Amino acid sequence: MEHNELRKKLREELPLPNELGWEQMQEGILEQMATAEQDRRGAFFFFNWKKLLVVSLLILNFSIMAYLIHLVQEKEELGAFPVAVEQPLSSHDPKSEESILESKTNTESPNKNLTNKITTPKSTENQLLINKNTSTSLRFLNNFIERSYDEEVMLYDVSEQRTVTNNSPLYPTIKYPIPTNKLVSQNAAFATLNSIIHPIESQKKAIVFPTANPKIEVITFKPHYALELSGGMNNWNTNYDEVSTEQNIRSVNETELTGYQLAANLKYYFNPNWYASTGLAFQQLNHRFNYENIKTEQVEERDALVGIAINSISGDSTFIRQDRSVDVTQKRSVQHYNQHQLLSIPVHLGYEWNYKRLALSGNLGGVFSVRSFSKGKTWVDSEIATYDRENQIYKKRFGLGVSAQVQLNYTLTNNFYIGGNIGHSNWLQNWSAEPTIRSRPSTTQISIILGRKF
Amino acid sequence: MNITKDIIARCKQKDEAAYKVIYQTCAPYVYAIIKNYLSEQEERKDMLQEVFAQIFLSIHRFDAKKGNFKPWVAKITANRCAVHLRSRNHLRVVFSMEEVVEEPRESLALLEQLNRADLEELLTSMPEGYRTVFLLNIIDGYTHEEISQLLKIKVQTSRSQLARAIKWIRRNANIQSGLLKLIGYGA
Repeated sequence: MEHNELRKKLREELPLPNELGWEQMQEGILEQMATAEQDRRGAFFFFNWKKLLVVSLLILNFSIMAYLIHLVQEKEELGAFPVAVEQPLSSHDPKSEESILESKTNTESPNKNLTNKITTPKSTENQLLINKNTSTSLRFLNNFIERSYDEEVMLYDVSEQRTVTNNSPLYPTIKYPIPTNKLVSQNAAFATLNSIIHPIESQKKAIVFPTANPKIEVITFKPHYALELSGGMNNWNTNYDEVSTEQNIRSVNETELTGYQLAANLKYYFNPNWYASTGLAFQQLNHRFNYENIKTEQVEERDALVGIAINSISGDSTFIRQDRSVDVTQKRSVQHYNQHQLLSIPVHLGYEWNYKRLALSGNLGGVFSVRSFSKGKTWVDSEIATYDRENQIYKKRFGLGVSAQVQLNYTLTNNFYIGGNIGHSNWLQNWSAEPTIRSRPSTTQISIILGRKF
Repeated sequence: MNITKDIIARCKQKDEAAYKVIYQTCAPYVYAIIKNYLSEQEERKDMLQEVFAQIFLSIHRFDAKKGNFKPWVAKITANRCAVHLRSRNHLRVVFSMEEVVEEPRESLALLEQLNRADLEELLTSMPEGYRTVFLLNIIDGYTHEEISQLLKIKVQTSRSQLARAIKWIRRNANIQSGLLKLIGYGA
């Protein structure tokens, strides 16, 4: 059905108010054109700054995690050469070399963990072989020794053709001043030692050994990382503030339900007890919308039978009809399951207590969240309103909150552990875009954890 | 509205004098359409600027062989208004306790008896979601599919919003002696 008359009326040209003349509007229009053209150019690169920000944050997050993992691996490689790093040396004293060689005490191993063996085959006198099962590159060893020169007095000369292998356990790291024969091997027999020392002396290089008694310093802590994967359940509270009566209606009609979450977390232990952690978590928050309304309306009933009149003498009956009002009660129930999905990046500082295989920890920090999806029904402006990707009542997608967690771990092996975690987060920002509604939700989560230290 | 090919050609070359001619010719018509969609005067002014900026920027796409300039301008205006309302998040999709039933459009004949001022008053009092779908469909000729894409709502939602709009009009308008009297507001 065409409504040309209506269309014509609603499109009748209207006299422009004075403030809308060309002279008043020209500047604004040209400015808008310039802005739009700029946006068009910019849109090529920044089609959606919010999405770009989220992607950048995620990439940054993963990059930091990857970098930290790389750092740990690098440290482990460095730790594979404890002898040179941990052996302070003094100036050359040939006499002391002999006395040390004859001394039984100095031939004893300062620590069982140190099992390096240095031998020099007769056929290659200029070679100093440090035999271990795992080989490493010559370049790496040279760098390593040069670095130790900066910090200590020269250790010993190493010929260019040496080969280095290593398979010993590396921790705990041990510091001790090493005498002449210790440089060669703590396990070697005297016969072997002589055969090793001789070619070294023949090179007339300054090999200096301390005269002090060996000291053992055990370093008990080394900064390390832990990667945790967790999954569990959550419950949340919409926390509607008392802004309007609609808040009350919402609070009554909406019931929070159990949801779930999955997370990956990286912890950095910079102290035996203290650690910092960050990661990425996915959460689905559920709640149910219930609404029931009973409405009574009066319906007009035309020519309704309202009575029968009976003539008691003749027995004739007459139907009495008239218009009347009838009350009709209508009842309507609406029930809907609502969903919010979040991606969160927590940043926490924590403290851990250890007892045998158990570790109890607590952490506190902030959480940055991105709501990727909201879908459901709620109460707005005295009506039931539907919200989804297209109709965003919860328009404000970015959130900042505070969170705290308590975690109990049980160590399974040197590296692996399992645990449980209870956490609580409180968002500081209002999620709702409606002026009459204010919601700063909080969530409580319970998770089980599988972790690996490295 | 008489816009010559020469004016359009000059406009394509970013001639500000041509911009002025087009503005002065089309602005009263554009303003009438904007006034239907938006109720705040300040918002109307901003929208007028936005619409003309859009017209001048996309005038190279106007093809006189495909249609007249006036409907093309009307289309841009309605489109910008709808996008603006959508982005302002005022287009809330709501449903009341009553079931949605397709409303007979005969009741719109009541509106044709009204003058422009009464129509404006009626539209201003109509809930924004109803008004937008009503104007897009009945006045500006958008189909429900087009409305759903423009407002990013479901086709069924567009239909139900229109049904409610018509019902709202019928409920709020009472004709007595050929004059419309508004009685109460609200769905």
